[in-house]
Amino acid sequence: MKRTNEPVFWGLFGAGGMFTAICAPALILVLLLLPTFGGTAALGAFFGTTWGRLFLWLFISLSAWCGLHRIVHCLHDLKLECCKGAHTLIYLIALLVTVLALYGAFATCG
Amino acid sequence: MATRRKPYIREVDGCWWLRRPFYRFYMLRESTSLFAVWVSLYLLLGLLCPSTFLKLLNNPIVVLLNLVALAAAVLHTWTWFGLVPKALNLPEACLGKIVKGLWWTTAAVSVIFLLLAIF
Amino acid sequence: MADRTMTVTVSRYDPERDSAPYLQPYQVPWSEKTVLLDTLQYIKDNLATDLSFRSSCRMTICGSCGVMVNGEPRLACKTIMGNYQQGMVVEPLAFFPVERDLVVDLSHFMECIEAMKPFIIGNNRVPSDGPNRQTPEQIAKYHKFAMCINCGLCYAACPQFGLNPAFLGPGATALGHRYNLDSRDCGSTQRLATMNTQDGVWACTFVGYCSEVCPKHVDPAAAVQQCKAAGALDFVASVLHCQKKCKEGSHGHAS
Repeated sequence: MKRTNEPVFWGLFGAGGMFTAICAPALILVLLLLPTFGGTAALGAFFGTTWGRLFLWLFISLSAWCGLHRIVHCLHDLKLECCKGAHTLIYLIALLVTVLALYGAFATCG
Repeated sequence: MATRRKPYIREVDGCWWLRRPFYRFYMLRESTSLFAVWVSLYLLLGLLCPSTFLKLLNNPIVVLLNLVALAAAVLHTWTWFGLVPKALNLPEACLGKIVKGLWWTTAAVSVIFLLLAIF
Repeated sequence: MADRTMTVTVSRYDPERDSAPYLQPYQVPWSEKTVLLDTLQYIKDNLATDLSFRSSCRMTICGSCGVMVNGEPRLACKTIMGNYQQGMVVEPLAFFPVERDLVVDLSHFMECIEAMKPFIIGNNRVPSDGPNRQTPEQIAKYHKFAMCINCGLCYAACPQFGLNPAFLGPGATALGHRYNLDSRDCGSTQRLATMNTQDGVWACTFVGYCSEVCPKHVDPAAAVQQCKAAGALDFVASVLHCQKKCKEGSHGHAS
């Protein structure tokens, strides 16, 4: 019987699902909506710190892994699997987001 | 003698989820992932190119996407905390406490972020 | 039965005559006490003597009489006609191949049950050791998952089984999990090997309808999630084990 490597992606999905379940509503409100509706983006001080940037990196990458994992399964649900490489391509996008977010969070710092 | 069996296979099409309310809600739950990816990519833009990120923040389409993303995030939180106890084989009372703890953590994190944003 | 009548539409399919199932309405009498199984028997006795359906115990124990009622998987013996006065469509259990009328081919489900080895493995106690006692806590761990009557309603509720007929499915997984959780059993490695394949528990996306329709409240969706967690731990263990083996191997080669 061939063991599947799905537990790896399920693990990232689980971690991302839990992290976004706890943080996403507040983060979307504070970072993406309050600045638009008259609030000030005073969070710059927090997200300028190492901890703040680590948090942002985790949020961006885990959110991508969680969301894209669900999209992979949704393609199967909707019978939209166009080719065999679709899964790999989508997970590569998640990997790319992870690397870019790491670069954005720490390499462009200061 | 040849078999007279002729099992009829009912093919499942891509629209199976439209036919029952339970399945429609499942698809709604799964569709929150689209907005999770949107938030992820938009925040990534914020890290890589802050000026474009800020400029787009007042774009009506982006505002609409962000509003829907907030609703999707709340739905994700609600459904996720509903599913967590299923993955744990623990007594009912114990599971209740865990879910309550998750909601309190979410509330605490949200309050901290709001305070950080205001002050 | 009684004074009032209602229309019940039943899916009919004769493999020797029909190319596809079709719906046939029947006018049937009903009272407060009538269940769908009585109605099906009434139709067979009075209106369509060639109607095929499965049943045995009439009391939600044998799990034979599963059908789709207005698109929902149900046991015919547990379905009260009075609740369906607006109309009722009875069809064979969804996603399974239809053999004839309301009879489906459950072979895949039976093979999955067999693959889960639903019996105590690797316990070498002998009768002279006396009874193999368990604490109430040890029983509580698996008791819920031991209530399955193999009716197959959970498979008819599972779109992932519909999309992938090779999927291990909710019922068999719950049964395997029941033995994995049993303190007397030592066979979880064998069962996890089957569960940890592409068509094993990982084909599940937690739709959750299986637990909704289960007449015995077994909660197979929970069983599958718990098996995923156990499977993920097993995956990590296998990776670590593999690395260990490689090191041992290289040590052996060097010496």
